[in-house]
Amino acid sequence: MGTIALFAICGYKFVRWIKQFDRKQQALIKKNMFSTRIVPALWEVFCECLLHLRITKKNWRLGYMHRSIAFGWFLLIVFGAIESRIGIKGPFHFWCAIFYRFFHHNPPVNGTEVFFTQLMDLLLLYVLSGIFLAFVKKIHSRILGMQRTTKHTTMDITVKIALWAIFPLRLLSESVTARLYANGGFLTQTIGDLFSRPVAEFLELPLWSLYSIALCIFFLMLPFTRYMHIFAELFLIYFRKLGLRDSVKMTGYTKYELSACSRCGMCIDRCPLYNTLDINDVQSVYLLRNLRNLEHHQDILAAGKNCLMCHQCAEDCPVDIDLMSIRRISRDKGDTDMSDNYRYLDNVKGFNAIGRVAYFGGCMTQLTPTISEAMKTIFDAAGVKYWHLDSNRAICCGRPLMQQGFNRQAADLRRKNSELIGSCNATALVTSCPICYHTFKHEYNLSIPVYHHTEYIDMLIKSGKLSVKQSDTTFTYHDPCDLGRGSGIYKQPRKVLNAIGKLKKISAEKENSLCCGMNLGNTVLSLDQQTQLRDKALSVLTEPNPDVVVTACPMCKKAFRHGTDANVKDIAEVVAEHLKN
Amino acid sequence: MFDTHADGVQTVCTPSLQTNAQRHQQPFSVHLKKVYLCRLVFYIYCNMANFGFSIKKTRSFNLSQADLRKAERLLEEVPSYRLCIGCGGCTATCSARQFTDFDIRKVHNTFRRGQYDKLADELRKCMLCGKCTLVCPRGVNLRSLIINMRQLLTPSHETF
Repeated sequence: MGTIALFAICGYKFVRWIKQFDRKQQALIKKNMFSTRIVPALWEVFCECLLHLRITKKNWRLGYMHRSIAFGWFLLIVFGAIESRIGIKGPFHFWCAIFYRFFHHNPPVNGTEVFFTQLMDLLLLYVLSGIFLAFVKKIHSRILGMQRTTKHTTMDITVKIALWAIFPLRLLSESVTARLYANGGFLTQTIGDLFSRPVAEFLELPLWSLYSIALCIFFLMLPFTRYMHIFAELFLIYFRKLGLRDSVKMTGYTKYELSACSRCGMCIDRCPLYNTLDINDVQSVYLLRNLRNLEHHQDILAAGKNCLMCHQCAEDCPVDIDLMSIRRISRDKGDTDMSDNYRYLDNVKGFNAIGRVAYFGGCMTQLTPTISEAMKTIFDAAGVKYWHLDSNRAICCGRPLMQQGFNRQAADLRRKNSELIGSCNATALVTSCPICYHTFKHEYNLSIPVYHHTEYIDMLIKSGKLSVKQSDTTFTYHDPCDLGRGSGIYKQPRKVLNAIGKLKKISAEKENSLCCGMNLGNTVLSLDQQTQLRDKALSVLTEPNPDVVVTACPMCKKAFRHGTDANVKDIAEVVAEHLKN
Repeated sequence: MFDTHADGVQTVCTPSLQTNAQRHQQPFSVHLKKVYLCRLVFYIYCNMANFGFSIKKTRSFNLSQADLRKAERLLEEVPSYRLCIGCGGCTATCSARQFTDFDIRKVHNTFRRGQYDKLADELRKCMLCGKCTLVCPRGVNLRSLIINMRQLLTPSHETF
């Protein structure tokens, strides 16, 4: 009965969400619905939904716990169905598998029956070990490697208890029946024999009823709780493999993502707001929960604002939900976001840069002009003709507006900037700001290639146009949030630095590097709090006592420079100082 | 600078928001009328004031009669704004100012004094690039200030 209700509710919700897909998403579905992309989708479903490989990579204990419950229960259902198909001679009803032992009283006789009975017992033990670990995690989460877990709602907790109760109740019910009819395996028969006959007879019906009730509660309540992720995740993986992505407003695809969140809480540990500033009610898990339950609008806005957009949480999410896009969607400014704001830019003329490389410093580089001066030295040394787009004045790339939810305004800026850059006929666009780089590469549709200055310098060195001298300076390198986790550029800056001096390893680098605190994503933190974040990041960078702390982002450089006595330089400045001629 | 005196004593003027361009666009007869009116007012004020100078009426406002609810709400939302010393570094570095007349210091000062008209249109010029916030010597969170000002001025958010 519970399962019928479950499938009805889930089916209704899913169909409603599909209707809410936007046009781009619908087109993608129609194109790819039955293509071969189903195969990688099924593979990912197997690896992630059942085996939970992503979690296992982060922490094998957590991975085991989730896997034992998910995969174990899946196997119990599958083998239970097979077993009852074989064992029952008469008409087959779907509930036979669940209550197989209750109705089928013959003790296992031939090899197949014995095999299945023992297998079912083994799987039940597997699942029970997971439930035990989950219980331990509730009491003391550090044993399983998590500093902090999600604070769940009452509904979630109730259904969790129902879920936890299912398996011990199944164990007891089957054991009791095994005592009476000797049809149990190594586990159930052993436990069953502990009961005396009259007690077993007395307990049999109540235990099976309780088991049935626990199952019913779980299935009935599932669509309203976090356990909806079991089904939502299947569809999400399928749609994602078809190429669907979040758009700037709430769409059906995003609704799937909201339900696919299992509220595991892995995003909380990574968040710098939690581990440095002890703020633990704004993380992605709570934002997604609020958005899904459409809780009070002000709460969504308040929690949504307080986020650095540093990508740390998205790195750990086992379902690979695009948390940054959802955060941006929650900040959508609606009526405050007007279009047609930048008429004053209409008169800005284009320029002629044929055969030249366009260099876009970005707003922040205007405040750190040593970086653009260093880039100019590098261009000259490499014999590359360049055009400094924003030597006098610059139009912002639009990313700060997008991150705060002013999508129409950002689109205005994008249009104007694209026109200008398009009209200049340059061969490539090089920028020294990772924020601008990410925006030009992914949000704009430029016809010329876009490079970050670290990539570009690496290219120049590789092609021989630029040569640097070796020295014995020691460096540590800070991966900016938008360049590292945001754009995946880790190797090139390291190659450049290794060609110049000695790059030392630090304890939090590449995907784990810490945010410098100076960012455009968060409008709530006070200067003191940002300083704390900066100090934490600096302590990691200055720990091996390098000669120079190297950054690749003008904001990071500005953040770090006044926080330490050590030398802080942008990678362009370091290269410019070590040029060979 | 922002003390409200008890009985409607006028405080120091606020610069008006018309740009030079806008002033020059008016027809000459209107301009003449304004000149004569100013001269008349000036004459009256000169006779009324006992000390040597006077305050031009269009460049003054009455702080006690101003509706400061939005300004107070802004100060609640962005408490760091209380640290502002009016240095103008924000305006100096502003990206939009490189292209058009946009004075962010003028805008937030005016907002704080309760004169909200025309500010919404001015604030739309901001590209939210963040240089003002980075440059501020007192650590005022200007980006948050601008976003909050815009929201307080949007009609659908207006509860007062």
